[in-house]
Amino acid sequence: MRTDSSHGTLSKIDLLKKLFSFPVMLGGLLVTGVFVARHNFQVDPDFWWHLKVGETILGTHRWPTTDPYSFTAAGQPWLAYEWLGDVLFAATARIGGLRALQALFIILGGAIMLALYGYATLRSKNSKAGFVAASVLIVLAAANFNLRPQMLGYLFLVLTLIALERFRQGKPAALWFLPVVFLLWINSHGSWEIGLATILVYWLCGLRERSYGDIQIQAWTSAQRTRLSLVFLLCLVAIPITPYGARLAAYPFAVASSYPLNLANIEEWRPMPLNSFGPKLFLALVLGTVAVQVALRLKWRIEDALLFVGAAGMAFVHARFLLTFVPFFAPVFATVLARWIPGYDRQKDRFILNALLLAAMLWGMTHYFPSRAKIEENVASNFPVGAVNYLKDHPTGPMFNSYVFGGYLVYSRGDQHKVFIDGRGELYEHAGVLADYLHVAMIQPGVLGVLRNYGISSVLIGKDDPVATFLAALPEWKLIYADRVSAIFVRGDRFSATSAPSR
Amino acid sequence: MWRTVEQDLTISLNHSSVEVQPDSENVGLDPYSGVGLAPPSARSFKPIDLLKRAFSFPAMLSALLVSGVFWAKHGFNVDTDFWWHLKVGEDLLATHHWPTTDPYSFTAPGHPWIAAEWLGDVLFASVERAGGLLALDGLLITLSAVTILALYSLCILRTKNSKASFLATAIITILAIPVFNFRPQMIGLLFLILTLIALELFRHGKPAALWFLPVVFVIWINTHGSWILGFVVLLAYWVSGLKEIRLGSVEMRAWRPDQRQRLSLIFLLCVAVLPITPYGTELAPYPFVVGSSSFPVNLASINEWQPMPFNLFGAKLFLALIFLFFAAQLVYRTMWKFEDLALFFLGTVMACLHVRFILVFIPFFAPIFATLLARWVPGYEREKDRYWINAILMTTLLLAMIHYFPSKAEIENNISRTYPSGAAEYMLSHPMPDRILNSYGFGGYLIWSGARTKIFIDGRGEFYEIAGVFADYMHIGLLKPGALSVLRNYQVQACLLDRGSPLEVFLTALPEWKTVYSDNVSTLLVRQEVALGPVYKLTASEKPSKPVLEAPRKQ
Repeated sequence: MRTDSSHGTLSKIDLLKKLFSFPVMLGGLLVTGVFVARHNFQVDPDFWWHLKVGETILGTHRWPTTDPYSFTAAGQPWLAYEWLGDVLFAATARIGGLRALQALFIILGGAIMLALYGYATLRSKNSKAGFVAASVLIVLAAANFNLRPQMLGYLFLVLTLIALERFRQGKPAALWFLPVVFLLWINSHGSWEIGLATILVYWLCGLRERSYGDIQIQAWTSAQRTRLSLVFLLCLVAIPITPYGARLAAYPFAVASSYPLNLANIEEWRPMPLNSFGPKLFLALVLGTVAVQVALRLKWRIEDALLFVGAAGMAFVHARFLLTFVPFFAPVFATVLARWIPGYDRQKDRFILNALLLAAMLWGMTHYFPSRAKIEENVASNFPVGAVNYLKDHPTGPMFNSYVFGGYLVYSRGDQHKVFIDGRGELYEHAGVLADYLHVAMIQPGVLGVLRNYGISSVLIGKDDPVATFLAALPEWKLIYADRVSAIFVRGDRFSATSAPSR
Repeated sequence: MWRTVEQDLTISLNHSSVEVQPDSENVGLDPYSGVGLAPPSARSFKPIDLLKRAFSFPAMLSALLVSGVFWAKHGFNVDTDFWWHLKVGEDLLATHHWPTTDPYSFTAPGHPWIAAEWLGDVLFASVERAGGLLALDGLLITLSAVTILALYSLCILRTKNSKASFLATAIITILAIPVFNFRPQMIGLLFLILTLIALELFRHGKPAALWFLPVVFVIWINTHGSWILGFVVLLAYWVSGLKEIRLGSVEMRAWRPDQRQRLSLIFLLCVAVLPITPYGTELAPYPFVVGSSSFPVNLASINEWQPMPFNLFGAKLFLALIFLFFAAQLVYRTMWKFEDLALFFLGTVMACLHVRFILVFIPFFAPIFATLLARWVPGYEREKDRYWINAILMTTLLLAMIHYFPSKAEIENNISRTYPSGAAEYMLSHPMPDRILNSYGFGGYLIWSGARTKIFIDGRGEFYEIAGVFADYMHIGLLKPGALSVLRNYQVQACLLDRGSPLEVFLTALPEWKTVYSDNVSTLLVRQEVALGPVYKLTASEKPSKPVLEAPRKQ
């Protein structure tokens, strides 16, 4: 009995030591880093329509199949292809409003960074190198963290890589978790196809035992190959399990092939803007890897090399794929760093100091967690909150709105206001609306004719937008509202029914 | 004295990154041209040998490269900056006076400005004097072709394989052609390649070419700011020979003391020639001023200063070449010289950050690419050469180039599709107000054509940014709040704008602006109160030549 009790005491101490170990403290630092970078509720314009879709599904228990939010593409086929993420946001908002959403944002970002840290540590067998790799990559990742379902997609991607790596290291249990991940993934975000491609790359790269220069191909045993094939098939089986059946599966392929206007004009689909800091860091990491390879002749697993090159290429061509590059690069980076960074030595750990640091971080995050007023202030400095309030009292006719304001209008005005356009670029390109929107936004010849064709009698636009300068100079358009963010113009014949300009 | 081929190959094996085996394919190649060489004792200069060299397979490959360049560049599609360069050259030839203040704009008159690329400008103007636009087109093709041939020679020098070098040069030409602009920077690129060739010959134990470099630099400093890259290359070669080091796939091979001394001396001589310009030492700081990011509006707004646009084909090819290098390194572990890698990474970073520097990447990467390709592409075999077929092919290519060389009318037609030649004619034949806002891309053409003696802005972006004009121009062009006030501050009475640009659409919609001329390229608008005033009077015949576009139908 004594012995048992003594053992019990020891395991509790061990548990505490694990909980307050140096690697855990490093994990705490990463979460704090995410908090510092993202605690101001800086959300993407698309967040708002995702939230509205979630609210609609929670409210109606129906999954939309046509566009319910615009007057330009009303009735056009449209699927809420990221519905599960949308519902998660809406459910969180129901529970605790904007503060709960802010907490969810930090939790999702923190979970991704912890998973990345875990993955880098798993690969390098060095938690310090894993931490350094993750903390450099947080600069790339955190800047691209948005409260959108794609956050779930990135988390699932890192989890998939962890499961495959554990399988490589002879621990197959995690692999069976993948079909469940894919079931959630297909209903949350289109990046599931990257996950499937990753499994396929792993499968292909274990077909034969070969070595080419610094490339090594390690063959699967026949049992491993069978298991991996089975898991791959189970993941495939999970893909049609959606409220829309197999239709969701086609979506990522359609985006990649059929929407040239989106690819050419929407910022996240543009090539990597190498004139800003984050992308320059990305370039330094990619070229640094090439330089290190020349100088050190590292041994690469073929799947690592393929995924690194593929992800870097995707990120160069479309900036939004920078987040896909991060998990594929993290293990490579951590492995290189592990050559110089000594591993964790449990004997030298200072558990009490770690506990104090973790407590300080937790206190700091709690203390600096923004109030509801602060969050609302941040929202008002980026979205047309004042203009929407004005519109509640002064309804206008068909309104042309800025692309980035559409989601907020959908969320805040709902059925009372059908928008011209919002962040669902694929829907609007398919309907021909995006081309017309760009025609107006870029002030192309015949811009007023386009507005007339849609029967537009009011315009909600960014205050410093060229369209605002354009309309302000035209006698038939009158400014009726303006603040630091947005401006509302109405056509002259509508002006008589409205009040004088409000600022 | 000719070194023996065996000696060349030994040096090559010792100094080059290429793991070339002295097999039968490579023995007997002239390292410069890839043309077969006889051993020195047997070397002869009989007419038949000269003919064989002239019509060898590597020479035919050269002709193919020249034809490719001709095919891509013969339409006289010139950069917007070409015109003001030509005008500067014309003025220099006419006045024999080097400007020190701006002579061309009404927005920054008298502001300090020097013709930093004057020698290139004078070359253009002299050629124009000699043969007009046709001669200029000939010069554009010649400059492009010489540059590509120099690149081809550099590759051959490095790989001893003319076929691999041809392939590398041909693929890289796809990157080069779109950025081959008729500007002094073309001459700068040529000098950069010549510097690399001279240094490579020096590496191969042939120091004579090195003494040619101070002459190159004295021309270069007067032609284009890229001379700074020449120094970077010299420095890279000098540093990489300081110690004997081997790290992974990189090696540094030490210079002998006499080699280091010679290289140092050449470096100092090149530095010594830098003040030999009409402006004394004033030209030397110019690249540093441009490179020090003191021109944020230029960097943010001018296309050639933008980062590499990876959504376009050329940029994707560039990316593919980088990854090809990486993949080949993983598989083959090729040994590289330190200077090769240092310059390759420098060129890659510069090209990624600013697309205009793809021109720097090209000469730094081409020898590396050719080295990679030489693993798979067999070398030239003189014994198997078919001189007659080569001669026929070369003659055909020459005839085709002569046949398809554009006429003056075709060149003028091409110009009028890009530049406001119609509007210029209109302005020359009608009274116009003094202050005309012109599109950035039209400024150079307007001053060259004589349609305007003073313009709002042209391609000398750095100058206009210092004067504060460029920021105002962008403010107006991007229709930022208060755009019309900025326009009024400059007392602008007319605007010559790109057809379909937002500003053109904007002004066209305003009642106080009237379109007096419009074609597919440009639109000329005049303020109505000016039109009714004493300076200019709008007549019935001066209605827009074409109506404003109809609004597109909603789909």
